[in-house]
Amino acid sequence: MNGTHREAGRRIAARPTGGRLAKRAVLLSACVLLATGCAGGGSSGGGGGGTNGATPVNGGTATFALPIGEDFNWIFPIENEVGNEPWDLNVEEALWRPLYFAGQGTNPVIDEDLSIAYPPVYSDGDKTVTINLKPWKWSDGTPVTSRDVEFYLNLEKYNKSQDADYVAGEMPDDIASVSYPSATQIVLHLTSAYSQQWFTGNQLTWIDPLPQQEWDRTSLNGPVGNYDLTASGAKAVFSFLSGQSSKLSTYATNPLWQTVDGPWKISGYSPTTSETTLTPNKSYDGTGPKARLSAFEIYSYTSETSEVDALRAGEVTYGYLPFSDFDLSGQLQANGYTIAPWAPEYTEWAELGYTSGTYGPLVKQLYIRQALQHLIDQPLYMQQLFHNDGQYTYGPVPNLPGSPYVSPQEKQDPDPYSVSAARALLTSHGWAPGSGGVMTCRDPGTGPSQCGAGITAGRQLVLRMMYSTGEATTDSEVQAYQTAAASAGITINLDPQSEQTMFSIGGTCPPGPCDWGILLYSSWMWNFGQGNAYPSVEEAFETGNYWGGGYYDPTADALIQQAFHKTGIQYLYDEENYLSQQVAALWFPTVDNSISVVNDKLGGWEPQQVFANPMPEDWYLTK
Amino acid sequence: VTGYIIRRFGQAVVVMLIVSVIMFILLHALPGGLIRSQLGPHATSNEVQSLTRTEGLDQPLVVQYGIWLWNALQGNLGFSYVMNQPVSQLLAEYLPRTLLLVGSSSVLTVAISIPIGMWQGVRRNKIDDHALSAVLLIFYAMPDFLIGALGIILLTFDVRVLPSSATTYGQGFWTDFKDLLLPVGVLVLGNFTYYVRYVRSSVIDNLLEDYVRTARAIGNSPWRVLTKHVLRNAMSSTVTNIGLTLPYIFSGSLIIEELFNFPGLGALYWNAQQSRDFPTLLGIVLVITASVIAGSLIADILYAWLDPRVRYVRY
Repeated sequence: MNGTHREAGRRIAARPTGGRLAKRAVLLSACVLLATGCAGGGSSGGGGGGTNGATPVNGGTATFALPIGEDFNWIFPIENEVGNEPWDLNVEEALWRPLYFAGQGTNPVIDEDLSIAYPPVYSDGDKTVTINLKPWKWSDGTPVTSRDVEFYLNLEKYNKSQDADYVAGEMPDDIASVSYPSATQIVLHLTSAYSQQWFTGNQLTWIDPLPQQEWDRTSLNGPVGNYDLTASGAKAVFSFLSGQSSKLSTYATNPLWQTVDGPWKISGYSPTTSETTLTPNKSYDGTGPKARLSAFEIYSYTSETSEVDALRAGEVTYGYLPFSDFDLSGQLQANGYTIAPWAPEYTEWAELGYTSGTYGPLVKQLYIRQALQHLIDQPLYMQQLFHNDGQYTYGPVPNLPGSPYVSPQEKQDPDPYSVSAARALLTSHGWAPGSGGVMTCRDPGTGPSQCGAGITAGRQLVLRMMYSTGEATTDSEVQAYQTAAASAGITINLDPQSEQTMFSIGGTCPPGPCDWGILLYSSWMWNFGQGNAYPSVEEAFETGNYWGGGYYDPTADALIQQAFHKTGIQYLYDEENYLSQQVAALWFPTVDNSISVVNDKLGGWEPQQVFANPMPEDWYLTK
Repeated sequence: VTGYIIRRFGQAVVVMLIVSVIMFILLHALPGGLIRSQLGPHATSNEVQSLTRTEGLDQPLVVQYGIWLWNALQGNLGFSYVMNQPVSQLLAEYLPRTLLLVGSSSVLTVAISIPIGMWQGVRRNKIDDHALSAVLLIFYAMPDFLIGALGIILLTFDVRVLPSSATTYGQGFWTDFKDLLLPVGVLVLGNFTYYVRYVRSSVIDNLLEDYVRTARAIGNSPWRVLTKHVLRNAMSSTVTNIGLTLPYIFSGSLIIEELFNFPGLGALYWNAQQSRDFPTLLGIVLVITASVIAGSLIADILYAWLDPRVRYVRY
């Protein structure tokens, strides 16, 4: 489950968030360590919003515009590859709360208020986890119990290959056995010791208690049993529930989906337009806020134009402004909207082609990677292209203000923009300007001042840079980078490709040869969220990864394993510091998720959640 | 006539087969492969292998095409993993909406074009004919998306009487009616000038024919000559043109559906190509091909009905 990589859509994406910390001790220690503003997280209980002190009212309908390409078309909370999209997850978690809810306002930690369980207790050298459930009820009045957790774990155990988030060796493989001492207690015995931060943030956040008393059946009209207790029964139940999830036209009417423990119920769904209507779960008795709106409607659009048109026509309460339409912000503000950038836990980097026969020998050299990093003018891109709506990025962990996961070192740029520094690195390693000013290897060899292994005499420093088209900002960014590189004697051959083609080529490498020097997806590379709240990046940079271009470094592997298995945020810092110093990938600035456009009559929408969940239960309309 | 229809139908089947083969080959030639595009880049190799076997993609391309064709003939066009629905079900949902959009706009277009074209033909080279031609030329020169954008600015942003997008289409008759007004209006405005010019030209040509002089000479009123004789002759070539412009109207609807967020075949096609949803793309191309061929076939039959000489022509 670890690793919510890029999605086919673009901005806004990702997964839900909420209110307070599950692992309070972790957060407290992190806050002490970092002396960062823990208050930045904001509570789930409803924040401000641009209502200028207007009087809140209960009821009313608010509408939300999904990003282009996003829609809700999978309701069963164990997702297949297709249903594993940000908006499927956001809606699912509005209906069925996870055991541990990731994201507390702008803070990428567990929200204790929104979680069904109390913070987990680790023992036996971090090999045993005890989970105690809060008093919490399903909408049919029955309590949420450990049996509902067992039901989920059994479905997961016997159908793991059909879960899009399943990663071999992780949940449920890392659980040796489970015991259920009481209706409110679950004890997990792990296969080995794991970091508390990692296990809570990236494993326990997977678990969604599911209504066993209603869903443990193999047909809609069949009896409820204990089918999940056997492999064949669990498979039959899973197949039935997945099948029901494929019947889009029944989403609002199927009684299965009406038994919820979240603050919302689904009351309308159009398979035609994916328009989704959520109404309050009147029986909600969780510790998070109750919905105040009478309805929350979600709209899908086929183009940014139609979404912007809908905003201008006043048809959407909460939408977004594409960066290319940024000039409309003044007009929208005049029409009663607030403009607010939304910065979730995303990060951007460009993969390097380590396994490329052509470019691999070049990018395997640390000094070349550092030179390439020195040519990324992050301040220029931020100011001129992103209107300062983004984060400077110096390593794999998103550099969000107040995030406890950003090491002090990663907040500093180790390789700031400097053409002269880039040139100096090259000339001090056997390179000199050759034909056309392109750097050419004059001193091959593996010595400390030579070009490095696999680089022959006369080799020119030329790299192919693939990037995804469709974003004007990315086009400008790579062109500026190409110009800066040329100043340092590096030729960058730009190779624009559609994002889908990029997936087909970059997303399948390794094991195939990564036949590029640099590969850059527009906007962002990695998003974190529910099930992936702790920003360890083993899937990207550990050996065998496929989002780091085939990066291989035994030291990095050891540090990643350490962060994986040892409790303490310092281990995460060690990992990210090393990857940052080693320029495991080229760190490009991360553009904000979106520019939110919110009707001034809507309150409670701030702070915008760090995992890109709008959290409509916090919203209210004003007089 | 029956033989003529059978021959034309046979040609249509051959064209369909050729189009499907070309599409099949093109889609399989795209980089990345079908399975990876369906499951996403994050899919495990086990998942890829499993679906590859399930979909028969480990078979030679010819065998795959044969399987696909056999399934298609039975109404099974595959499954869209992106949309989480069978392709045939998707087409059954989306096609009627596009047919409603294209059909209603086509009927309106013809209904508006014929009287205006006839009137212009009768009033040829008079000042009102020139004035109207000038106005029509403006619409003729405007692409659909521009007319659509202007319509949104005027009727949605300024007057606020119509929605800018069909986000809530399907909620009921009145909502659907309002959602359809702008897209249909734009398609009508984007296409009717072409027909007006065509009808005008045909009417002018026919008014100069001997049979018109004869009709007048035997005492028919100008109105009767126009409606009984000239219109029928002018319509025969116009009807053929309607059939031939169906591809244009379909492609126009793609842009219009995308602009107005209208959930028709155009929007489905747009989303499918964005997500490389190959089974859906193949299904849509087949349906559009079939529709265009059917339109052309119907036009031919109507032409034969309007002009009895046609039915005796043998190919």
